[in-house]
Formats: sequence, structure tokens, C-alpha cells
Amino acid sequence: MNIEKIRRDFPFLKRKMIYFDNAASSQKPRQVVEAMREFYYEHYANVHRGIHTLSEEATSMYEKSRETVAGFIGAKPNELVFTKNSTEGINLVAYSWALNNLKPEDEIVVSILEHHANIVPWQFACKKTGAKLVYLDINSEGVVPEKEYEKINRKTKLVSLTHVSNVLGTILPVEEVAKIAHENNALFLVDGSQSAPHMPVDVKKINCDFFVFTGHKMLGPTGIGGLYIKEGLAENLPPFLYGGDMIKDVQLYESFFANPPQKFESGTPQIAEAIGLAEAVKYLQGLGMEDVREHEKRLVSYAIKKLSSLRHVEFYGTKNIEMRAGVIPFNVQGFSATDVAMFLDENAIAVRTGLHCAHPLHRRLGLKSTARASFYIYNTEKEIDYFAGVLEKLKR
Amino acid sequence: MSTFDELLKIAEKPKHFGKIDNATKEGMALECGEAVKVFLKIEGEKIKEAKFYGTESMLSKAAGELLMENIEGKKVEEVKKMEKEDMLKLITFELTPSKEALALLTFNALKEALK
Repeated sequence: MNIEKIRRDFPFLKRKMIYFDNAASSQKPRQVVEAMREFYYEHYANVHRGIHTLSEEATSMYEKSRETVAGFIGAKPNELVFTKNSTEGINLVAYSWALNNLKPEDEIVVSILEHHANIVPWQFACKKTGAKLVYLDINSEGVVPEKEYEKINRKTKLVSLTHVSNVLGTILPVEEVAKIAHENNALFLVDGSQSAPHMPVDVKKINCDFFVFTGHKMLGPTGIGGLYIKEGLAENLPPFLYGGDMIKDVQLYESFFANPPQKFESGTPQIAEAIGLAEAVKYLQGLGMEDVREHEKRLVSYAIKKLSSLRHVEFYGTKNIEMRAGVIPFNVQGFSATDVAMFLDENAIAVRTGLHCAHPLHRRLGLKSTARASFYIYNTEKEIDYFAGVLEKLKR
Repeated sequence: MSTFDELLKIAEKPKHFGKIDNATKEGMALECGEAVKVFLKIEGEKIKEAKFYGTESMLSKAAGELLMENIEGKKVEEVKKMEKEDMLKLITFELTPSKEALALLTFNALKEALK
């Protein structure tokens, strides 16, 4: 991967800033913005309606984008529903599947590592149905011990796990979990918000039933994400939102719905955003996801090495790079995480601070808050050197 | 002086950071990852003593200190009339949206206390 060439594609870098907040959202290459601009200026119309040239062009571009994005995660186009983001994907499964299938004796298994997006919808579904929410715990390194997976049993109807922790960067063994879930006749949802942007993902290899991801974390625009529903499952799920564009026929008191994925895409969809996301996917495919992962492994190893040499900096998560994505949460002695983030900001470094939408995980770790550095394709070892140098100044 | 250094100066030894036993009024405010409690000792019409406690970040600590200093000795009715803008006027440096939320934490706790 030629990082200098990549960096030339990201106009924000002209501001001479170091962007280490990629787990929150990534920056956009000019190719993505250009693809959206071209669509709006030259091909724009609504999709799936009208036989006129522009509408047909827009429909082709939208559906071609579905093919590209589905291919990126190893899915067939008809298995990919375009959503607003991962949160909407999980809510779709909660409303459509969970509310209609869970009974009071049933259990949903999540882990303590989850982002609120993979906790709160299940709390809601459990309250509505009387089902129970069960948490897999972690060890001191932020890894789920093998024994915890024994909590998946015959009562379990759904296992819903993050692929990669947005706080600690822990990579979960999703292929093994799929086997355990299916042996117990449970469905398996993977929250790929932090994996799809950073490593090769193949939903068929994982053998999950649902996979959610969000475009804005993977070079794409905001307002677009994806929900993979394994073929055969979607037919029996009722729609999530009702209205136009998801219809075969509407009579006065009854309607007949389109086949999936259209059944789940009510109203005018995010056409330009889907086109932008497909362009982002092509950009990543051009780099090769194996190489993206290798680059981030190098960066996180280097950052761990640098931070280890700073006695006043404490960082969290496993040091086993094979099990860790490019995310490092940390604290500096004598300062709150917010202070640290403000100081870094004054030195042109962007990190996230707070609880990273993972309050239960922070409570479990006994941490009031953390600052978090997270890396992507345009980050360099040189930036990490500068980052460590700035942190050095916070020694009291 | 950078904002960070300015904050460090105010927040390092805040005179009004702490609790008041037998406070006349107490109020609390939460913001993602931060919590502040305000304690007021009221005598007659006036706020005799004001303290705040709990927050971690220097920004909310500095803002809390400036606010408590400002209201001590003032009439309760006068403090009740304070608006968000009056609080923000006490801060001399530029506030971005997230920083503003932190700067208003103690103010929100004070409003709760005086409800």
C-alpha cells in the first residue's frame, strides 16, 4: 500500500491535522465525493419508478451499487438491505424478527463489549417480549474467555455480537460463535461496524444470519449502511417500515409487499449515498482488504510500543495483535480523558473522548472514561511518533 | 496562553470544589461521562456558600469554579434569573459545541438545585 499516494486522495489532510478518530467516522477520499457529485449533476432522478432515461440510469446505478457493496462482504445482492447505518440494521432485526419471535423463556446473548447500538434495541425487545438479555463477560485483556460462550444454550434464540470492539479493538472469533449459535438453533447477528472498514469480511465464511455495517466508517458518506440477511430468512420477516417503494400491490385495506431486499427499503432510498458507498468499497478493494488490515496491524503494534514507553500513560486491551484491530483506548495520569483530548486537539491531533457509546463496558473495566486513538489507511508511523511526543508533554 | 494552560491555571486548585454538609439546596447534572453536584448554603435571601463536586475534566472544573465564585454572596432570586448566556460570559475563551456542554454542566446542576 502506497500511503503517500493514498494521502493525496484525502483533501482534509491539507489542514495538517492528524486524524485518529476513525472508529467514530472515517474521512472521505475525493473519489467518493466526486461519484456523488456526478450522480447528482448528471444522472439524478428517483429510482424504481418511471421509464424515463434519468430514472433508469439512477435505478441502474443504485442497484449496481448494491451489487458492489454486497460483493464486498461476500453476499449476494438480494441479501443486502441498504439501511441508514448499523443502528438501523439492528433495529430492523429487533422490530421485524425479535418482536415477532421471542417468548418470555427465550434469551438473547450479547457481550459486555457491545456498543449501545447492540444493547439498547435488545433491551427494548426483551422488555416487549419478556425475553432475557444475557451478557458474555471479558477477561482483564478485554477478551471473551472461551468458557463464557457456554452461556449460549437451547434457550438462546439470538446471539448478537460485535465483530470488533469499538473501544478495546478486540476481534471476536465470530466463525466459532456461529457454530455454537447454530448448534443451539439460535440465529447469529454480527455487528461489523468496526470490522468491515478494516479487514476482509466474508459473511458466508462467518456463516452469520445477519451482518450490519455502516458506510461512514469505511470512507463512504453518512446516512448509508447495510444489513445482510441470509438468503431464505428474509422472506418470513415482516417489513420494518411501511410505505412506498416496498410494494407489489396496495388495496384499500391490505397490501402485498415486494421481495427482499426491497421489502425493507420503504420510501425513496439514499440513492446518492449508496453510489458513494459503492465508490468507497471500490477504493478499498483497490487497496486490498488484506493489505488494509496489515497496515493497521503495523500501526497498532507501533502505537502499543510507543505508549508502553510512556510511564504516565495507561492503555487498555489485548497486546495480541492477531486479536486486535487498530484501536487504542488510554488515559494519562493526573488528567481526565477530556483534558487529554483537548490538549491533543490543541496540537492538531483528533481523538475521541468519553465512554464511546459503551457505558456498560467502561463500568466493567472500572474506568470513568477513556481517550481513544483509532487508525485507518491514511495514518502513518510518523503521526504516531508525533502523538507520543505530545503525550510526553503531559507528564507531571 | 493556550486554552489548555488557561484551564490548568483555574482548575488546578479550585476554591469552590468540594461538598457542603447540611447544604440548604443540592442539584445534579449529567453529561456523557461527567457528573456534577452543586451544594448551596442559603442564609436569608442570599447564597452564603456555593460548592461543586464530581466533575473530572478541567474545562467543567474551571467553569464550575468561575460560576460558584460568581454566585457567592448574590441573592437567590438574582441567580435564579441567570441564563445560559450569562454563564458563558464568565468563560473568556472560545467554546465549541462539546466544550460548551461541559462548560454548562455546573450551571445545569445549579439550575436543578434552585428549582
